[in-house]
Amino acid sequence: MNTSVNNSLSAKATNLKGQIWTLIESITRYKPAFFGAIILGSLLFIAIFAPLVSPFDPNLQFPTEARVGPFTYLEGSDRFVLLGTDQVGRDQLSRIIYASRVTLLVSFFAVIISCLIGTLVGLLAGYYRGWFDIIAMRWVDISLAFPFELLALSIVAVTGPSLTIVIIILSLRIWVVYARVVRGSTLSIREKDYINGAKAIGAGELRILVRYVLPNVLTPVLVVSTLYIGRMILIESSLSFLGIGVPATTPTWGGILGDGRAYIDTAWWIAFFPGLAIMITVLSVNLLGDWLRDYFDPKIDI
Amino acid sequence: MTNEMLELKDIKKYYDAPGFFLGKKTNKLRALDGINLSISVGQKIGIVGESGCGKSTLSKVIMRLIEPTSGMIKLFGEDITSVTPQVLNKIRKNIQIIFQDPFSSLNPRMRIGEIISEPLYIHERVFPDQIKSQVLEIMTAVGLTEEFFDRYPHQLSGGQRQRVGIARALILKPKIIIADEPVSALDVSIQAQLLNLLNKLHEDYNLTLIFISHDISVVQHTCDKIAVMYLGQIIEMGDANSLIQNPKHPYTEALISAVPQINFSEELNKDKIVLHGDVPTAFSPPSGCRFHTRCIYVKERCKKDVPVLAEINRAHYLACHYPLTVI
Repeated sequence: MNTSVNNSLSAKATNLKGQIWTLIESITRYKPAFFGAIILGSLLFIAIFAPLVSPFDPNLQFPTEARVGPFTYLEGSDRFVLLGTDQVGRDQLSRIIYASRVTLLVSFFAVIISCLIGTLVGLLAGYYRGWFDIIAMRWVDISLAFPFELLALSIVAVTGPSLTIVIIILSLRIWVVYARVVRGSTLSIREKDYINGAKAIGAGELRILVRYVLPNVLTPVLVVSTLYIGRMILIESSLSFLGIGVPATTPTWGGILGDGRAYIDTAWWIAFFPGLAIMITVLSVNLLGDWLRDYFDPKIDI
Repeated sequence: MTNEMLELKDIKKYYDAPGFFLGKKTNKLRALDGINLSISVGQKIGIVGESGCGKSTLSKVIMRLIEPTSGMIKLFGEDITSVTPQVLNKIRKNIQIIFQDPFSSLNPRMRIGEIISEPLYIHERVFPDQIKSQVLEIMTAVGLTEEFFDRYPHQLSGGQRQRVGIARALILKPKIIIADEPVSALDVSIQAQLLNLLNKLHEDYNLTLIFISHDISVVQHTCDKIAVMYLGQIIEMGDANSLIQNPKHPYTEALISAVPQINFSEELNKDKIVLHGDVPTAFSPPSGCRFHTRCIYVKERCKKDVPVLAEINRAHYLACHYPLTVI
């Protein structure tokens, strides 16, 4: 083996400080992921400091200055609207900046929650089989067969729309995907000799699950996560479109996109810019996800 | 006897197979059908047979990775067939296993150092860094250098991986090592190295070795006692040299004859006994002697009466109605 391989091997250190350092080193070397990380970081920054970053109040309406195109100076309200105004004259840029808060919050939380629940259920179902597997997988089948909008409508009809409810609804939709994917991987992993080997050296069930099965089912989990962060934003927008998403007064990317659809022939920018924001977010999440998957795979040295 | 290390008494392992009708469990796959075996301290016993004869099932039953359907396993004279999982984990320190496929027996997400020190961590709660010297010592014993400590399994060759498997089995200083076809996935040159290594370790650590293989020549090289299995039963068992030179069972004779030899004369090749057909299904083993469907010396009696494993010479056991005589 040549020396460069050896160096990069020893670079993957075992202590925490070294691990963080190799993580940073790897991401700067892998340009697309670095790009994704910077975009996501900026988005996060913008979302957190929305009141400081956004030029205007996102809810201030100027009906006389509705549907003004991008790059325009408006004398009536003394505003330079970079991305134009929407159908009631609100500043698009400010709306999109504020909307990033809800959109990112909802999609990331929904993915994290459903990832945790789905992975746990899939792991237990795949490893132990038996009645838990049967019940969990039939539940998954039912969830996938049940019309999602109907489920969302009936939940919201009882509870009323709110941010928490939207996150719960989205998690209900997605955890089954994780459960199924993780179960499938677990089924193949549990037959491997290294699981028998772990039992032979006296490893407990928890240890086998956490140290032997879980790391080896991580790849599909990461792939599903990066896929579904983008999906979440779109599903959330479809909920907003149906009027059962977050309350109508709170701007979301999907919500603005849905509103702009009606004006797509006269004012394209209303739908275009939130769509662009969704696209950029999904792209950077995917770039980052690809790198993360490779980083955790010891067979790929990046 | 006091030096009996491991004793298997009438071990049976049946698998249920669903019949044609839903949920109706009529067929039983008889993977192991009454195995009796006793192994004494320091012995090297080889278990030979075709694929599907139950060798690997036997190794997993001894490890208690599979529960036997019936029968008794005694370790140091103590029945370990129905102990609690906690006790079982303690017992497992004494028996370790080396797996056949070095490519699926190591966790791809763990470093070599972690893999080898994991057993010690589990049993004694010590971290890899604290016992690095101990791990390196065992790595040296199996012929791995220090540079492998921080590597991942995929960066190793098959032979190196198998050495890691051996090191992991050895680090707990077990009394018994089960080697389940440890060399069959490897190149012939590496095979010899590993067999010599196992022999050396046997001497250095005073191990009892259970060596499972389909290749009788490999077993002859390693073991001092051989048991031949066919369809879940032991059909012949005895001292390695006398069994190889003077086989009494037609199946053993066929296995020995199947060992490839380099010779260029036509005549010698003609003498090979070639068994025809496959091993019959273990769902419904043949009546009488299980080997009668493929035996070249088959007689009427073989189809009806079941031969019983009995001692014919001193420490030579056989299950055949018509033992071969020296030609």
